[in-house]
Amino acid sequence: MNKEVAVIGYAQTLYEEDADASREMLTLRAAREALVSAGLKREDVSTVVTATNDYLDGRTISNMRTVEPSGASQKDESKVEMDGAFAALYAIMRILSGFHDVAMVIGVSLASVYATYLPGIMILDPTWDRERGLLNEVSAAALQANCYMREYGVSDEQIASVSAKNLDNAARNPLALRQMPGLSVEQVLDSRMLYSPIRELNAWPATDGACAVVLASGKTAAKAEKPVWVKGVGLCHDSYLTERPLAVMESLKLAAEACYKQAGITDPASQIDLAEIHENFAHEELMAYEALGFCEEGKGGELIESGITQIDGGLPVNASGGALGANAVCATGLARIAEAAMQVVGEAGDHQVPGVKTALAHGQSGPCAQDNVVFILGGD
Amino acid sequence: MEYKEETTSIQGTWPLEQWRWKHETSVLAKKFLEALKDKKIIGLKCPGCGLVYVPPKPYCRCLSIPDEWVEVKDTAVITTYTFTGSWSFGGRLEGTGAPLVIAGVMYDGSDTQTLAILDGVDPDDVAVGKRTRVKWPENPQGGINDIMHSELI
Repeated sequence: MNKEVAVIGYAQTLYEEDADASREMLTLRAAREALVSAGLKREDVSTVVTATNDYLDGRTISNMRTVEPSGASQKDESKVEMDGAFAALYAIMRILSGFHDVAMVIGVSLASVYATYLPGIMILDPTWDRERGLLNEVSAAALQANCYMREYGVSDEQIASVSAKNLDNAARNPLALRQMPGLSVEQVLDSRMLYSPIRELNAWPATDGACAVVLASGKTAAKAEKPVWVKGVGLCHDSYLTERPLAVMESLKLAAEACYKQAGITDPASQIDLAEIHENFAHEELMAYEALGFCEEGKGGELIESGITQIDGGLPVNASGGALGANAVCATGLARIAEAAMQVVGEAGDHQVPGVKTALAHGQSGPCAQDNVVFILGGD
Repeated sequence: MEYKEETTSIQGTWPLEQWRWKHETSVLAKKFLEALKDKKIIGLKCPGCGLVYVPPKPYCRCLSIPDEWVEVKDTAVITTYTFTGSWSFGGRLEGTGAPLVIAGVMYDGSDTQTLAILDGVDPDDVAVGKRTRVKWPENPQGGINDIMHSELI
């Protein structure tokens, strides 16, 4: 893609364990701040896409209340029941249609309203898996982790290194929820075992928060102060977790291939300066390294050991702290886009990586990362 | 505004008994569950790509309609596994006793995985690639729980 759509504004709320705000108020805060970031008014926005999920809110059509606080009243407005990163792709398509100039995308959820990891049961196969009670979001991820580890000989220590890196990075991000400066691999391994091999610090923290991103057409973005161009985007869905091999993220690999083709990426490890990966569980970041072509299949554990993905390494991953640092479900993948754009602009503050020109953002949805979307963002 | 301090309950009813959900799987499930009474596990084979679905499923990823009933074995290979730690899951399960070992098993002849509890197994003895057999109840009732438990062989 050549200067057709750009990110021109972004905002994230503070990520909290128990926000003193409703979902609607978090949406409003993110929308208002994103407009300020873009230097626009509500009148300038022509289409709005919100990302929420009924099952997280415990009621149907819960997103009917996000129209006003997202700034969508009496505008073209649409809803996505997945992560906001998928909503961003939808918004890009609306802009590419030629009918819309500026799009607002918002993802939001409050984990403090439900028992942690419990709603994940609602996305399981309703005929067999819900009834049997063996699968939930964490046990499913544990099955994925074990399958991956046994296939490629990845160690607990290598997976714990992801948590240690991301939660240390999170300490530099003032919005992150789980900030743990200097966290060691040993401390991660000492954290409570949830479902083997997933420990508490390998799993996403229950988070309240919202993220908003403003996208614009090439013509409008060219006039913006700090456009971050969408160079490529790829989307792919996989089969249900019991009907596919869990040791590889095939749909992420295919999404990345489609994205790289548009963005002219032939050697991801050298052409990408920074990546924001949506890792709900620590092992998924290693699996994503492989699927995204940062290393060969099965070599994710060795890549984290090499230090390349540390914040001061050659290809920093999750300088923001990633989903392990804060995971407001439905906002998380969208926040990866906001963070990647922020790095390209140079506004990331204490977690800014110097000289980021090309950044990757990834969003996922569904049990064991069933659906994946990949973006390449860049300056001029 | 203080959102945390106060909880308000509003009474209401949602008459779910008036819904009549339709799943093709429920028609197929009847045959599948009936076979379990005879300690037989059956699945559906896809005419397009040959994939065998256990439990049976009437739609395939290749857009064909699996319609050929095939019997698979009650022996299986472990594809992956986990066991519970000390975790309270939504207040429903306290993992304080012996760890519950959960395995993904692929029955011989099937191409999909099913979840099973491995009884009386030391978690250290479980490994991907090891073989299992269904621990049938004496009188299977024709429910999915008839094949809930497996053991290492």
